[in-house]
Amino acid sequence: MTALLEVDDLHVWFELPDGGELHAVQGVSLAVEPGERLGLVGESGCGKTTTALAIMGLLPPTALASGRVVLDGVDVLAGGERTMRPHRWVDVAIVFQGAMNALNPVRTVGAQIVEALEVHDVARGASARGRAAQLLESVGIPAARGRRYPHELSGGMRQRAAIAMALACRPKVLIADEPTTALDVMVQAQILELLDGLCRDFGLALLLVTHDLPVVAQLCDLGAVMYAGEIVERGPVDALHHDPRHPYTRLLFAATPDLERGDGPVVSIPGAPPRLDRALVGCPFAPRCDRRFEPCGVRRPALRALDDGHAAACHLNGVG
Amino acid sequence: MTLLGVEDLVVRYPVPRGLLRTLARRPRVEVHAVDGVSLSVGSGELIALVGESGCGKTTTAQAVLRLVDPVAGRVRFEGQDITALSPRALRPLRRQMQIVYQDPYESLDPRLRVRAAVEEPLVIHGLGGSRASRAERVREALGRVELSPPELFLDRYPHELSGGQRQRVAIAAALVLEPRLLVADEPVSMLDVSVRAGILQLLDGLRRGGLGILMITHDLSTAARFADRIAVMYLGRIVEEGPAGEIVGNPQHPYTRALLSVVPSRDPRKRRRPQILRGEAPDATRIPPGCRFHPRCPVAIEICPKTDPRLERPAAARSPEHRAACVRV
Repeated sequence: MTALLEVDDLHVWFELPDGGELHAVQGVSLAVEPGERLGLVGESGCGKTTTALAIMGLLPPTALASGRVVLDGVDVLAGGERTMRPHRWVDVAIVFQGAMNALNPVRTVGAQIVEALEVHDVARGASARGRAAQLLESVGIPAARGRRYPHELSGGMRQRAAIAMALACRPKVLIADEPTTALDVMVQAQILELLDGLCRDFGLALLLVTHDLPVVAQLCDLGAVMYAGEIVERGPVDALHHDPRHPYTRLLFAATPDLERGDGPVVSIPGAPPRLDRALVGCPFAPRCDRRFEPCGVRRPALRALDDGHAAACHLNGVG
Repeated sequence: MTLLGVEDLVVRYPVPRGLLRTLARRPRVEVHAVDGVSLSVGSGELIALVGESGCGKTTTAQAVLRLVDPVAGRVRFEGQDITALSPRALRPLRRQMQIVYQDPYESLDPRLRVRAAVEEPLVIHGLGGSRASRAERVREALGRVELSPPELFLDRYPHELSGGQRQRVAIAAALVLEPRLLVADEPVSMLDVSVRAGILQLLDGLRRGGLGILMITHDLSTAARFADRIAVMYLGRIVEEGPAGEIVGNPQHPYTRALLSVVPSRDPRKRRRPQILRGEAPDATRIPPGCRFHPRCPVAIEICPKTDPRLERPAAARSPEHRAACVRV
């Protein structure tokens, strides 16, 4: 199968006001195949959202990117905005954390979806209105509520409307960037159920960007754990939980509380992630790692394939 | 011994009507934020007040600290009724009851160094004696929150600290007054997962040292791990309460059961069947009659819209302290 979305050795730098540079993404490679659900997990500042924005071609002007982002066989990163435009929303779409920011506050949600359909030449006039109603229904919003303004909807309903809008051009891949972070648990469950259904019913592929490990464990087949701008481990979510091959993955699971108490103590990871505005020497996780040994301080481990689609960037799996 | 006792607490807020509605003599609308809550916190006890946004958990905490005034009910601190105390009479008690907020980025003054931020409460309350002895208490407080050696942190500004370190400074500023009760309002929800456990363990250690902690949280996994007792709130009421293990392992109220079922497990092999409640909680200006949960309840029966159930010991309770407000238990 050919991947719908392929990211190859992506690097992103931000220019800092003081003249320095922040190396936010440091060589990320990933692929999303049809119907696949990949969870990109990491803590704040690890580069997961920057990766998502780079895929969408939505990086701010202060950013510099290198590598390849291939959509539908075309490298949209190399070609710049002109190459990206026909693919954005059509091949890949994104929903953000605060749905309020994605929606225009002075237009009704229905009108915004109609506009999206018209701008992309998907439908016009009455047929666009019909399709907008259909989209709203497909995300669980009664079509009549399309006449409401974003502020008249609850947080959960707004997030549904943002998802409906993202689906306007029938994208094959949906990037969901912290789609449930600001929501209550019950509403979070509703939105996750919706995403799950959309993937199942429409064969939508999902790239779920989140800090929330349990959400990935429940919703995704595959996970990629990011730390300090790179993917340090990726594989089936089951392998990540039951056979982690990078200490960060193991410690991150151990730091995540679970309802079942019998599962060992919840422990924090000492220290903090490294600053990305200076060059890193050795493994970026080494200063916080409970299993570091000689090579970790000097050589940065590369992401190596282990087995069954499982890969990790750690010298414990063999120094090479 | 009971440190904090809350009985039948009621807090209501008027909803602004606007000029037209006032002239049209539309009835006043009130938010019934807290509608008859009773709870207690003992020394060395950590109680988690759990619920979704708008359920009244933060208002309850504010009323406990007399940051908002209740309409009815009593708040007792170490046996003393503080519900109607004047601000002046309340002042010596304030230092016994401190609060830590959710967002350490907002609760710390960005212009104050750590030293000044932790010292400020002492200055305000006129405590700590000489400058030198205040400095000593600041160092002690930083030590208690494991920011050591203190010299490394005393002269830093909040922007030079990580999120976890900032929250530790906020806790140090609360501890420097040596309170007996700490209210922690979502103390870790703004922090990264890898540092959350550290803050929670810190609170756990303080509890072992005799501090009573009332923790407000929407996160049942955290409550399950760190609380002695859990109280679940829905629309201004506690609908179920009991020892943490009992609430998580043997929930009786249908709302608690639903809430627990939607908590995602970190283990992909344990994919629970979530029991998702439709819609969202109604706002607290329109509380449903009878059991306030009945419109969303999956097991509601005929009597539910007519009876307002009291907190009672459920038939299937394993713990004598287990209470649930549901006619079906």
